[in-house]
Amino acid sequence: MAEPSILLNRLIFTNSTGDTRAELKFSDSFSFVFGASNTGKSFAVKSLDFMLGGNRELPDIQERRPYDRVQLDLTLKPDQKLALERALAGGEFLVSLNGAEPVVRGARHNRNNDDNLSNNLLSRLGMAGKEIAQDKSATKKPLSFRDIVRLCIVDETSIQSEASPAQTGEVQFAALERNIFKYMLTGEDDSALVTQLKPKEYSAGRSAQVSLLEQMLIEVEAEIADSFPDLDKLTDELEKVRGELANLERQIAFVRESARTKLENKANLVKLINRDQQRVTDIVLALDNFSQLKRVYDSDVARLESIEEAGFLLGLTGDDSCPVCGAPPEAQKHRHALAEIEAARAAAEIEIAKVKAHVIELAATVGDTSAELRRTGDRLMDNQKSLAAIETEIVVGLPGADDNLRRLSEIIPRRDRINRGLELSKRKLELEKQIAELKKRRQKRLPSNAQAGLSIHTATQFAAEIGSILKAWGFPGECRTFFDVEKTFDLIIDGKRRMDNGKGVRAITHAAFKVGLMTYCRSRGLPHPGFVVLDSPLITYRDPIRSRDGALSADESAIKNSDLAERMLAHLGSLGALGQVIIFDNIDPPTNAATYADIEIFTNNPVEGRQGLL
Amino acid sequence: MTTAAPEQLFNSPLETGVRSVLLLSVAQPRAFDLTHLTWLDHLVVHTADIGGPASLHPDIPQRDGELVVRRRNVEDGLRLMRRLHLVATNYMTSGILFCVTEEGAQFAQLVRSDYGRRLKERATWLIDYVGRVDSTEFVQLISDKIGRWSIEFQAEGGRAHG
Repeated sequence: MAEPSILLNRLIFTNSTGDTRAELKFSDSFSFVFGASNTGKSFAVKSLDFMLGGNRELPDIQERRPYDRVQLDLTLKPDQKLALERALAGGEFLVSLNGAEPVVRGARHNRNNDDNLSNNLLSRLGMAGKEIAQDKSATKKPLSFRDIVRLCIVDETSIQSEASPAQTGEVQFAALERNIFKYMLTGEDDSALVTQLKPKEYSAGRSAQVSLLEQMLIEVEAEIADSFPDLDKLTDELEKVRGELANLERQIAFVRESARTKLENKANLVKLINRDQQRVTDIVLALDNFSQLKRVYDSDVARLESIEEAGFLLGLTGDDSCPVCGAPPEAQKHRHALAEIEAARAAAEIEIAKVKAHVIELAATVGDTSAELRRTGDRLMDNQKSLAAIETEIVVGLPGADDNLRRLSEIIPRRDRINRGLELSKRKLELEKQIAELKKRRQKRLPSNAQAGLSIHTATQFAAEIGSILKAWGFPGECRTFFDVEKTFDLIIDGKRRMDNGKGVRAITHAAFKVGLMTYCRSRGLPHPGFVVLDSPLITYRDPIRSRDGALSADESAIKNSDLAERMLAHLGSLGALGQVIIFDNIDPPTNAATYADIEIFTNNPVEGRQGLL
Repeated sequence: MTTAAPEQLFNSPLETGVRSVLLLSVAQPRAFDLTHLTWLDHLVVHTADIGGPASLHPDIPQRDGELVVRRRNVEDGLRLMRRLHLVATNYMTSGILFCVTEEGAQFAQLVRSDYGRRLKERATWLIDYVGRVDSTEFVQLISDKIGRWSIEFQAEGGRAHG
């Protein structure tokens, strides 16, 4: 078998000093522990359960006093050796893997991490993360290793119980236990199921929702009554307001547009005015320069005339006696100077004419420039007048814009109020509709979720497996076996409900049930840890006089007189790789049992063999 | 016919010399040395600067044209006037003094042009003004009002452009 499984190797009781030690070894296939009454058989079974995470306190028997701890060695096939150590008082485990330093693991299952034994073992067996529905609404519980162990270790009380071997007999767990059993027989858990509200929770939730919605409705209606007595007219009102608003927005846009044109005109005028003012300044400066030049011209002409006159006076008598000194020309010493003076005089005469021509030109230029100054000044005045006019227009235009804005600030709250009213009205209708729908609604149940427990098909196959085991064991009758998936969730063998048999027969059939569960799962690759521990399945072979279980019923007697015990043990000894079986009982082992089983005997006799477990 | 540029006519020895003859004829019989005549040559056309009649030459910022040393112009003018016997030189203990001759005084009376007459009016006012202050005060006045050295340079010329 490739499927991972657990082999229980040995159970060891020690104390802290290590000087007291009791050990019980198990075969890889089949171990039979024979023990007389009060030799610790049940204690051993309970210890195995305890070491696989059980939380029930171990019986406080006299013999356990010297010990304070238990160790369980097990093999996690194919390749891990685990040593689990736990105080007899309970609590956490020390787990050593393949002889490594032990680590602490909790006893309580937690699927979210690996610090607990249950999740460790489930992971190893490929069963981690499974979810099991625990009621018809598919409320889910994570699968724990304990749920599995319960179907592998059977104590003395359970094996005789009238309850189905798949169940503990506690009503509140029935659905959960049936679904765990279904999981083992099919390998399918319930994680895909949709959890539904339980009908009671559903109706409680629904009325809470309804009252919440009704509260909201009351608030909405109150606001409508307080603030919107005109609710019916609001739709028409909204149309009107929208019309007004659009109109107003157009007007505002128009005012803005015309103001912009005016502002542009104003900017242009200011630019023209500045340019003309600059021009006037330039012209005035030029005219000033011209008038200076005129003065220079006038001065020049006067000076030249004076030079011309001086030249004339001094040269008057060039060929004559000097008018000043009276000397004749030949006696005149300043003849050379006179030639110079005459040249200057003539030059001055010409120069006077030239400068006078300049004066005329200058007069024309001054005339032109003055004309320009007048034109520019006139334009400047005109533009300044236009500017003043535009500024007035802009100032006069503003009150209109203010008025528009005032009207806008009145309309917008009106529109918002109308919208609020319409929204409330819509909300009111929605709430009323939601409430009505909610009140009408019934919980819909998915038919697929209603399927709890086993399909008839699987149950029939499983029943056939048990039937063939019972046949192998030589169980009396035809061994036609059925499984009642509806009521008892138990076997019906040859037309008789298992629970209706005597307790010895119930013990044997219970044993067949658990062994069959293992072989069924293990031969099909379905989840099962691969071991079965049974406490006293063969109670039917008891001594009816001395046994506390009293006289035998008819069906028990039939078995007791058959060879069932030998055939059963031989069969269990032949399972091999399908799984490990450990049986504790107090019947004498068959004489040839040693050929197919490891046999341990607790004699309850201090002088013969092993007296007991401890 | 020789043509001369106005620059050569303005402040030429002829123009400057005639100005000196008119000044000296008004001041007659006083004589001045070259330094005083240079100052008087400037002041007679800029009488407004020292509180006198409107200046004969336009009071405009310095115009284009090379700076000419006025003192040299005045000296050239006096030399021409001496050759024409309009001015005479006296060698005195205080240095070389210039005064107008008889011919110079007659010439000054003949001057009838508009500019010449206005020049004589201003010369009359200036000599009267200078006669009212003593020599030391005159020097102080020159350095306060005009600047001792600015007169030494010809700051105004003829028309440079039109």
